[in-house]
Amino acid sequence: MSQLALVIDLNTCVGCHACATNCKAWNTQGDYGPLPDTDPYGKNPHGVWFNRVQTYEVGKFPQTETMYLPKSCMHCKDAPCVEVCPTSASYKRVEDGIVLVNYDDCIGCKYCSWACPYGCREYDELEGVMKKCTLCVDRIYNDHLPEAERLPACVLACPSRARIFGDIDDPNSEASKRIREGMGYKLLSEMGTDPSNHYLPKRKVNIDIDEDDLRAKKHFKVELESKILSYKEQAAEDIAAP
Amino acid sequence: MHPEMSLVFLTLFAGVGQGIFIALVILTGIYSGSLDEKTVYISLIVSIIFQYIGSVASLFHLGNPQRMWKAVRMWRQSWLSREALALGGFTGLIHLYLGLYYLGQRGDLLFYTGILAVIFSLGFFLSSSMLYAKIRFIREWHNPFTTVNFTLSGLFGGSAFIYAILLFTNGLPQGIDIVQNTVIALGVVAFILKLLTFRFNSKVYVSVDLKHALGKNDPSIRLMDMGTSYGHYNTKEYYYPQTARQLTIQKLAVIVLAFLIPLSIFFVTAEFSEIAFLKLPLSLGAVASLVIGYLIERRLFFIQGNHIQNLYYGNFKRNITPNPILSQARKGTPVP
Repeated sequence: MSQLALVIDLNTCVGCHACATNCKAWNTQGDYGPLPDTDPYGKNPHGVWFNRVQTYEVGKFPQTETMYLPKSCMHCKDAPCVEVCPTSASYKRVEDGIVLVNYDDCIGCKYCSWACPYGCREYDELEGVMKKCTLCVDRIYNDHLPEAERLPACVLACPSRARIFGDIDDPNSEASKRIREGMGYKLLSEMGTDPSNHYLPKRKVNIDIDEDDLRAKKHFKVELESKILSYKEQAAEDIAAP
Repeated sequence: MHPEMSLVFLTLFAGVGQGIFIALVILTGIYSGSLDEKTVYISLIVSIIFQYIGSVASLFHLGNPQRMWKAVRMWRQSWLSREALALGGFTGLIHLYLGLYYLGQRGDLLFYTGILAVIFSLGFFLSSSMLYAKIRFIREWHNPFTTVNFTLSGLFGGSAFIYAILLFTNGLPQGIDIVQNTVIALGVVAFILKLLTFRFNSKVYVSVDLKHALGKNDPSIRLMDMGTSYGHYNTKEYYYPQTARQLTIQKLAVIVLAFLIPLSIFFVTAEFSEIAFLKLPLSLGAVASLVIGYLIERRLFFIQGNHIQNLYYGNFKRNITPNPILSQARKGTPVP
């Protein structure tokens, strides 16, 4: 029994919104119909898409950092939205753990969006149903796409490779490995929803160099300097005579 | 939360209508046979009309109301399904009760149909309130006051209506005083509990902060950009800020219209028999004031709910009423 989910590396995310744009593009032109986009150039634009990126400033100056949070449906293992849906339109797939909405059954009562603590569900006025991140279920099982592109649109779009897609119940998958090694955590874990999407925290990479190491490796430093000099000479030759 | 007027009408009118029926069945049980036909017919018709008003209103908040019948599917786990079943079952049973009464049934069959309908009605009070109370992410809803207030509003409103109907038809001369006392007692209890609810909502403490929502252990986190230039569903559906003045006006309106005016009218007409000829118009006024007051109360219930997802959009502290920034803007002070 697998649980497909996203692992988002906040250390690498630069808040470019490529994932949000790509998500909207794929879901507007994909299998499940257009998403509303009312008055896009006017005074009151309103639209629906599934992956929203918020920007936060953490800390007080000068110890501040900017944090970008791309947030979409967490595909919770104990999803409160599935529990409260009256028509069984909101369901969690058994084979891969993706939480989906059946647009033929949904009556648009908005109860599931009230039950979601992350604010990941939105109401589509045009169709009168609730919509949310589908984990690109129409991409990952799509035989018409080449093997390497059978990934969610946001994962393919991210220029800094901050989004990883995989099975978090399989300890050997890339996603599980990144969670284990990158100290992956869940949002609002105390709320009891057990989300599947994990976030890798921001971390500063420090290399501690000991003085004893430097003393011992002095000859190494000299060797390295001579190598750098030879590389520079080589490069100058290449530029002079391409 | 953004107040949905269709849900306000649904929960209030369906609840009050069911309260009328519960009071009718109780009176039929106590004074079996003494209740005259006019009273019973008027009560049943008013109750049925209220059920229709509630049901039609509820269709307006759905995106696809033609699929409403599917809403009973998940009765095993969803309180909204159970509410739909309870409302549908009660409406069917009250029609059956009316039909049996019209056909001349006055005995056990009618009474047990009534009891069954009362059970469905209590189920409606429970499920329509539990579907709000189940949402543990809205602290102002996730407490016992929700269920108690929904039930008491139905019972108090329903018994006030029955009292007005009895005055109109003079259908139960020997029992009218007991009905009066019951209405006043229910009203006082509902009033006290509503005041306690207001106090609870103003003191409510949600231990979840932006640092829990983001997993960042830092006391000072602020939202710089919410990802869109304009509002969307997540900033409109969950966010309805009120100034201190708006909140006070609404709370006072609830207290005065839904409780003080009706209760004082009932009390005064009970104590002073000299104005007995004014009992009927005053009671109708009391009932009208009660309905308007409770409409405001139910709307305020929606407004006071503050959802945790507002944390992500920097709206959580602003949604706690009263909103200090809006209050400053109203007074003309420059908003930071």
